[in-house]
Amino acid sequence: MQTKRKLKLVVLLACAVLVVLTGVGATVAYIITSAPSVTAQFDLADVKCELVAAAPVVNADLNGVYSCSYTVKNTSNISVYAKVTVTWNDVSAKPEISVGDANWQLLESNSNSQTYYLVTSLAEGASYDISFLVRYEGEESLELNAVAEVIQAEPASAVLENWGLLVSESGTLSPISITIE
Amino acid sequence: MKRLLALLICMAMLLALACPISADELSASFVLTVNYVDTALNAVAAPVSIIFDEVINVSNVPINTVTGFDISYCDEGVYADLIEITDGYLAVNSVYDNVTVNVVLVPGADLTPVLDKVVSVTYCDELGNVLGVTDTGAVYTDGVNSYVLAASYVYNSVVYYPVGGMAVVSENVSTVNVQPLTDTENSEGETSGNGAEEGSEPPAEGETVVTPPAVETVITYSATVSCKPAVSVIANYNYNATYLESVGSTAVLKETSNTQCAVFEAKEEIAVLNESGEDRYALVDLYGNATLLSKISNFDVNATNEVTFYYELMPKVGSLVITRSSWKMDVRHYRIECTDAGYAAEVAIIGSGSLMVSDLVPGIYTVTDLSAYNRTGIADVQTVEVKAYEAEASVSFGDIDSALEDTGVSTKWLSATSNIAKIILTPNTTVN
Repeated sequence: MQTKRKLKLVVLLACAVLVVLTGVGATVAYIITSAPSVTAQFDLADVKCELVAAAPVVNADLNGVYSCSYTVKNTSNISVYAKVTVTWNDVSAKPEISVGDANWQLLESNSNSQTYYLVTSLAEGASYDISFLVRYEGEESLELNAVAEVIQAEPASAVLENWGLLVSESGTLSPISITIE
Repeated sequence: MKRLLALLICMAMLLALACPISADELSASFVLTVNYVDTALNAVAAPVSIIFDEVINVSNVPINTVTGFDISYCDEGVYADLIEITDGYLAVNSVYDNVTVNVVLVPGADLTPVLDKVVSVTYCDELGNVLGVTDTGAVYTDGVNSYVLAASYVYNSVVYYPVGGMAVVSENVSTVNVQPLTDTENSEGETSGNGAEEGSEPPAEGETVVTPPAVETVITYSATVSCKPAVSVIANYNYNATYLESVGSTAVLKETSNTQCAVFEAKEEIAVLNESGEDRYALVDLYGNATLLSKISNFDVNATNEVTFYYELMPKVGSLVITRSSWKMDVRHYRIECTDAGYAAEVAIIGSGSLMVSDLVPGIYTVTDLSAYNRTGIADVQTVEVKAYEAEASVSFGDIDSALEDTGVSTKWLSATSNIAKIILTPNTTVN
């Protein structure tokens, strides 16, 4: 009796395996036969960002030095690289901006603006602060306007073609260096 | 019994998992349809499946490289400016829900060019009739067979595209079957019809009106005229049903009776045709094909004396070479136009290469990079004069859209700019 039940179970299991293999085979056949006509569906990448300014803080010990901070938020649905450009309306003001975080590197500088890029990518939904000190000894108020720009992190050629920055294997940005011998 | 039931439930679950999932069932809002085509834009079966890795974030969709060929985007269609394939990625900067991509299969890295070998390519129509021979066939090899990638071919102002795009090289000669891409009817913008139609007046009573047989690119005329030897520029036909007929692009003077002579300008000289039909044909051959450019038909059909028709016949003996320099292997389309000659045609160049368009009426030609215009909205237009019996005129194109990208105008990659965030430094700011 016990042997008969075992035999029955084995037959049932064999049937089950056969049915499963048939299903898998049919699936593979379906995929192969329908391969030339491909319709793929996927979500569109959406690249965007936000920039939030924090209220400046006067350094109590250093006259005319302000602690400032912006927060860049990646509101895209993919990873991006970011850069921030700070401009001031008064060219003669000549504020001295000093960014202590090594993850922010100076990309461009001229008489009324400075641009910093974040060497690491920002994941979807991630934020990163750019904090800096500004020495400004003018008597009139000075307005600092900042704009963040982001670009898709993959492929690496995107940031290279648009910003002229190289992406290392570890994903960090660096300027293109030219060696003259 | 319970065990059996449990087993059946397990089987059903496994079967459900094994069943193929339709792409439509994947959660998404974007549909990408891929058509495989050859260089003539004919649909072909995909040599391998195209696999989109993960198919998330369409801006970075890796494209497979097919063995022996590179997949290159063909910038055809309304979505041309929205799609770019670069470095094996498909970028779609689009808000559209549906995008169709034609994937052109062209020789790729696995086909090695045979640098010291260039074969002649014989172009035949679908019936095997030889249209012409060119020597621009670069040879590739996959280690077993040698191939030649045939360029488009212009014959009688009609652009022919190779069927299948490639042909196996045989004994240094390769034959490629081609088919016309454009409509052959009135391809040069020429008008056709008889004199009554052109003159807007009915033929005189008793006058013989000859309607020539319908042939390709027909230039016809009917009238009765008398001979007036060797005058001015143009042509001078006299009474008794004379008409011009074009066989292919060769203008031939024909008559039904009593035509004594005619003046025919081909080349820069005036040639006088005698009564011999053979001489007439020989003369046409000698001076090359001729195309009717204009005619004046405001004549009095009731005139009893001589009526003269003026035909300006220009030889089709000019050539134009279009060169494209690019690192890409995609297909670029160029439009060639000459308003004075009523000529318009499109040609295509794959990757870097040159294409000669011969059998052209002399004149000022403009060549427009249609692909660049479709992609960027900016027309890259070159103007060149094609002269008769002189070295071929030439125009050169790069990829203007690539140049734009180099200068920061990019439609290729997704980027965005944030809001403006203000910080106001006020000298009397207090410590927070």
